[in-house]
Amino acid sequence: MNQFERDLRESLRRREPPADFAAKVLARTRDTEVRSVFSWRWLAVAALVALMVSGTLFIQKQQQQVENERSKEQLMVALRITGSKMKDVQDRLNAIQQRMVRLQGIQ
Amino acid sequence: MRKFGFVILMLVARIASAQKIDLKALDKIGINASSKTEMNMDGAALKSAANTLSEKNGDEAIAKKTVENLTGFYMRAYEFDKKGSFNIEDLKPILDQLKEPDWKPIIRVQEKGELTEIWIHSTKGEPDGMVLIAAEEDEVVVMNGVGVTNLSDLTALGKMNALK
Repeated sequence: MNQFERDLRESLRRREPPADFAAKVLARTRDTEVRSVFSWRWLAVAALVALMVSGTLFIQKQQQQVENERSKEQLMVALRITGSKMKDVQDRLNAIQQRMVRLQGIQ
Repeated sequence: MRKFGFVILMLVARIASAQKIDLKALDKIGINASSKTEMNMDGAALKSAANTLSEKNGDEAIAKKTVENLTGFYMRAYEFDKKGSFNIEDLKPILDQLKEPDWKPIIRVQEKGELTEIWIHSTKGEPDGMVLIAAEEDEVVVMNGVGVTNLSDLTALGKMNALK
C-alpha cells in the first residue's frame, strides 16, 4: 500500500456524525417550513386585500356610472319639459300677435 | 372684525343665491299630482350630468350646450288627472319671491285659468337667472335656471324631440 492509497482510505473512512446532528437538521427543516408558511400567508392576505380594494373601487365606479346615467335621464326629461313649455310660450305669443294684427285689420 | 367678516360672508352668500328661488311651496301642490318631475341640480351635479351627454346625439348635444353655463337647474312639473286639482293662487309664494328690481318679468300672460310668466334675474344689469312658470288647469311647471344668460339657449330646447 503506497502513500496515495493510504490517503485515499483515510479520506473515505466512515466518520460518525456528531450526536445532535439529526436534531439540528430537523430543527432547520421546521424553521424553513414555518418561515415559508408565514410568507405565503402574508401573500394571501395581501392578495385578498388587493382584491377587496379593487372590487370596492369597481363597484363604486359602477354605482357612479348608474348615478350619472340616472341624472342624465332626469336632466333630459326636465330639459324636454322646459323646451316644450318654451315652445308653448312662443306659440301663445304668436297667437296673441296674430290676434292683434287681425284686430288692427278690423279697426 | 370677526362679526364684520361674517356679515360680508352672509352678504356674498345671499347675492350668490339670489337667482335661486325657494320651490318648497310647490311640495303641497305636488301631493295630488298624478305625474311629477322634480329636479334639484346644483352646478356640480349639472357638470357631472353634462359630462355624460354626447355631442353627437342631436337632443343630447342641444342639452349639453344649454347646461354648459348653468350653475343650477331646479324644476317642479306636476300633472293632474282632474282639472281644478290645482289653483293658480297656490303659486303666490313663488311669485312673491320675484321682486323688482333684481327680477324683471319678460312675459306675463294670464287667460282662461292659464298662467305663463318668464322672469329674468339680473346682477349689475347682466342677466344671470331665470324663472319660467307655466300653469294650466291640470298642469303646472316651474323652472328656475341659475346662470341663464340668454333666453335663446332655452328656446333651442324646443327643437328637442317630444318626451320619450
